[in-house]
Amino acid sequence: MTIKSKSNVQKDISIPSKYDSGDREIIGRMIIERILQRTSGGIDSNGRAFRYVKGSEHKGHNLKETGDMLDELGVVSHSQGVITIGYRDTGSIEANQAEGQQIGTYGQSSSNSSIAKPFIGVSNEELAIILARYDQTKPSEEQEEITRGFISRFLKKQGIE
Amino acid sequence: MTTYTPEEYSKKLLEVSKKIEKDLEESVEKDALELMADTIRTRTRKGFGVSENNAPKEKLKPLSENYKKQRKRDKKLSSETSPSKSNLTRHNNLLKSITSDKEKVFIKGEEQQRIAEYVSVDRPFMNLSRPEVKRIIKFLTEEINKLWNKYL
Repeated sequence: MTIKSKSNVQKDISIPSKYDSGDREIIGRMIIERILQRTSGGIDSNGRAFRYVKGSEHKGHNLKETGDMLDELGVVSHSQGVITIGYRDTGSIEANQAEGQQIGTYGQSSSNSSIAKPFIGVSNEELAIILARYDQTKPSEEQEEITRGFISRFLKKQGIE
Repeated sequence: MTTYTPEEYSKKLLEVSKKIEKDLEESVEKDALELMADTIRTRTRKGFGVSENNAPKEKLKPLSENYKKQRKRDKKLSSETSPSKSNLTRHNNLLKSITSDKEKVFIKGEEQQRIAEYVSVDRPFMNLSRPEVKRIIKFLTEEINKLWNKYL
């Protein structure tokens, strides 16, 4: 089973380059959480309500027929200034299903934007909120130092460090 | 979001770190130890051991031919293993006895402790590999950060 294009199931999200690898991992997870939350409310990545297609087999309003497709959505990779989210295994059933939703193919050869339910991605506004939330909750250097101390003490007690 | 002067911030950090320390002792460390016990059980069941903490995981030494024959005849052989699989599982007692409390991960029961000591000579398993330690550190970091956000 092959998808039409990797770009249908993997999206690059640009973020400021100040965020390091650890930051990007957490921000990536926050982006996925936001997508899942928005999708369960029946809203697509453009902020529009999913369209109900009369007579279609794919009438789910929150893309959660079994949950498998959304469970496989994750952070694919990240590098300075970019987080790639979507489906790591582009040959999987879930990636195929996701592509069907993204471009409205649903097993057909041609895409149909009028019945598509694009869900992979976040708007600029959503990203701004995520980054602001992350900046607010990111621990200070002093907090990180104390945290490292707690963990080191625990590991020593367990004879690990 | 509250804004602090540097002096207030230092005082607040000290105050909050005491609360975090209490939460660590009361619940978070216990959860980390449970995760450690579960990690050891799962990895050993898959047939891997670790010679010492932070060392790489390695396949457990294969079973002897004689012992495989004995296991083949064993009607009570656990469904978690097979006659030739080396995963420290025969009747599922040893791995099931790996447990944890607020202080440590340990083997429950004298008999299982003796068995663990004996099998550990050739098949060490009660340690954590480097990636496993990293997973524990990640768990603790995330839990402690949640506490910072809760109290600060």
